[in-house]
Amino acid sequence: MELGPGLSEKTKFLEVPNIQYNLEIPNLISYDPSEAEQAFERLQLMSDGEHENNGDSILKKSIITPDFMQKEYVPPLRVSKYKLKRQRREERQQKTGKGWHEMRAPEMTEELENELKVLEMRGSLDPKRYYNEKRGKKKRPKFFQIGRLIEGPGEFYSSRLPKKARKSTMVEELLADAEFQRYNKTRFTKLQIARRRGKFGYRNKYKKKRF
Amino acid sequence: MSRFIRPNRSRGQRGAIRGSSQSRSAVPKWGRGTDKGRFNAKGGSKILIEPHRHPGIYIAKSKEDLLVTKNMVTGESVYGEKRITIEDNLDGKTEYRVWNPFRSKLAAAILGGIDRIHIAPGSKVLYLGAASGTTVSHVSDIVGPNGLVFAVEFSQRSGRDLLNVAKKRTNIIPIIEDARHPQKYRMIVSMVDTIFADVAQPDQARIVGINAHYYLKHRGYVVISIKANCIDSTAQPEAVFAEELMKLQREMIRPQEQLTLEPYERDHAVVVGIYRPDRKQKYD
Repeated sequence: MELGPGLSEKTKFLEVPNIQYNLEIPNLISYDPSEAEQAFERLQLMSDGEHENNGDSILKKSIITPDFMQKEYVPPLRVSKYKLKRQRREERQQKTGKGWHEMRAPEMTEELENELKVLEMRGSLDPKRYYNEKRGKKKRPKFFQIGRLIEGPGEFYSSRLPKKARKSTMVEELLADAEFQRYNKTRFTKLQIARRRGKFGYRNKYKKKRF
Repeated sequence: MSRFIRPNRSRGQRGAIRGSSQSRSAVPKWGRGTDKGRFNAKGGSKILIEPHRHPGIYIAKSKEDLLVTKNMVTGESVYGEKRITIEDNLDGKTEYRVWNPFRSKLAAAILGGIDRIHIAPGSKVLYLGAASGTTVSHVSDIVGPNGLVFAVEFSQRSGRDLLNVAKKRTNIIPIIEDARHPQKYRMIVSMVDTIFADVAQPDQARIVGINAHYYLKHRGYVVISIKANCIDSTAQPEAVFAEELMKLQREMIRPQEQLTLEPYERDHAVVVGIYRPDRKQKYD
């Protein structure tokens, strides 16, 4: 089989796609121009699409976000799926879920803690009110909110606090309650007197002598 | 018969009657409008809200404890009840409505310590005997935007109030029709998870039964409030309740729990039952 000049038997196997050796006319390598055009178009389309997708997907993965400088450390490029799972679980545990309309656990502050304490000790707030709560079993609620009671339309005069008497916390309400303060003070002094008898009273007397 | 029925949990016969098995704390001494001033949490005071044992229901705690539901339509009270607003930076404004156990048998049952009410966020409820829609509005609060309440009421007069409630609450479908003929509203009602019935009629068990046959899914639940006076005013209430339970069992409803509403209503009982239960399976 005769080949063109420079083409040996071996080169026959080096086939390049879209390029055919025209064996009939030596020295010429022909190719189908229409097919090449299609290929070129396809390539362009691909690269265009890739360009768009790539830009977005890369940006999505990017860890250099606008708040990058505020972060204390460089966040990892990849987070393991177990860690993600754990994060999601922790997030879920901060809410009650569907059962109670996604109620959120509040961030504990000193103010909120005092409110909870007041409710825990409400048995001793009022001498005329009794509660059947078990003492040792009090558990602080994880999910709670603190709101303000709005009276019904017919209770403007009967059961409404005027604007001046409204306070921002339950503790402040108690502090503003003169009746409660009076009761508290009498109780406190009573306790003081009771404690002064016996050992405590004796020690106090002794101290007075000494100084 | 009594094999499935739990002993009555309310300690109604022995004087110390207040309090539920869940939280035996103060029940506000309030009544139906007339005896004012006994319930004295005043408008404007601060209150803490925490989830109740039953899903969709909350307890408001201050000096007294109140039963509340999360208001679907913020800024509106349905029958002049008190509300509790919460301003939050994250969730915006949320609101709760106080649920008066003297006006609602379901609320009375919950405070009496009923084990399960089978009404939770997202469930579909057929409510027979909706009246003016006071309890229905709270049920609609509980089931929330993903649930549905089909409220059936025959009386035109109280049906009008019910319509006004349903106008503002998208999850209530009001039906002004006789509950004795469930086929009349078959084009509106879908299969439901729970039937709540407060119809106070002598043929109450039959009404609940045919509605269950039409609309209640298998292993769905029935919560019925029975007023002994309305069924037989001469017999003993306990005998009337027992008789009603027998009738329910004939309608393939297996009673699971019975509870009198003692401090709140006289001679009333709430019965919870399961419809077409699996014979071999035990249900809680």
